[in-house]
Amino acid sequence: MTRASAGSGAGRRSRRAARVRSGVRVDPSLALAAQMTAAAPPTRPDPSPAPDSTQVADLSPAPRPNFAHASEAEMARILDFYQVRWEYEPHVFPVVWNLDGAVIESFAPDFWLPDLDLYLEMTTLRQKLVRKKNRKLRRVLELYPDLRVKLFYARDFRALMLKFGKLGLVAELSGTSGQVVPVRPDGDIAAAIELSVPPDPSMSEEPFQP
Amino acid sequence: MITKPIDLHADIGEVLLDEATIQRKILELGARISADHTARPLTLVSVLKGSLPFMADLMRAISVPVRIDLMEVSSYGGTATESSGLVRILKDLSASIEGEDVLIVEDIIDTGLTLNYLLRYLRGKNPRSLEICTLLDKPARRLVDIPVDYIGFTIPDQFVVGYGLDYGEYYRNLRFVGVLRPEVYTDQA
Repeated sequence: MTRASAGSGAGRRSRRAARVRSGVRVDPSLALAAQMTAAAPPTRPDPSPAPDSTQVADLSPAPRPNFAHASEAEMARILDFYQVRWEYEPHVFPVVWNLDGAVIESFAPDFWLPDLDLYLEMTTLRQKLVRKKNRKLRRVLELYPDLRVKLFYARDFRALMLKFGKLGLVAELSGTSGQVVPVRPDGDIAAAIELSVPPDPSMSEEPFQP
Repeated sequence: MITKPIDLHADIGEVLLDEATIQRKILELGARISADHTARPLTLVSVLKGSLPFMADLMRAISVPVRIDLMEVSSYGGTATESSGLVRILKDLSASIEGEDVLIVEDIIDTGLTLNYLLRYLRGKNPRSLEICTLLDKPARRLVDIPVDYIGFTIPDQFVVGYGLDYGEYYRNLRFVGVLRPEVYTDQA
């Protein structure tokens, strides 16, 4: 799930990308902003060492993150099953700055699959947010053209559940019923689940096709 | 598990690939594979159960010497495997492939998760080369990008059964590949 974050410091959009540490191409202003703010830098850390292809992944029990949504927990179980290493929301990519250069919107993909160098963003919560997320992803790819991000829509999740014979669980794993409602420090649950986003009838997914 | 009666033909909304089309393509694939493997024998590894009909037809369309072997890998969601939570080899190769040219024969590649696991597993057996042949490719569902050497058909993002592909273990014996009517699986859900 994407998160908005705020920060302070210098930074401007629409600048030519440059290569910084970890080999990710980012806007040079972002690197500067990252140095000047406490916000997470728009880079990925050095990837973990590639596993020996002849060995299965180390799947010793590890603390599970607090997933924001049941569909994310299910995706984690699927990745574990097929021994694909993942990290949950490890990186944050600023996408919008105010005139003062402060980060006002950022993108934190749900999963990073280090061995595949691929980000997965689950978009199963509310269909009306799909267009907003698509727009944000386009912006992310403009700023970070080397990123490999796959948006996983509700229809993708349904298709995955159908493939694995778990279609009956889709209702409880997706949509509003699947969300793990976070309680913000001020206790405003409704705001935390983005109920304040105004409905937009044009925001709709393609019809589901398994 | 499917609880309502199966009607092999009425449950199919559309025939995507008829028998003649499939067989023509397999002859093409067989000719290509034969032309590409004239120097050394080839080992075909079929991934059960879905690729069984494809394997049976493809091996007979190949004109160079081949050995065959079979593997089966558990799938996520199967009751027998959920307790472990990890993919398992249900049936391993019956002979060594060390130093061999190996061609994995798949019925369909969609997410690529199973094949990604299988590739890692088979690479550990030190084959001389490892290639992939799939009858169907559904790139819209891909999670793991895997280079595929031989592709029969690239198909749209629809749930297909027949010619080895199943829903709830049924429909594999259809001689064509068809799109399952959505009501068949939504009713089951």
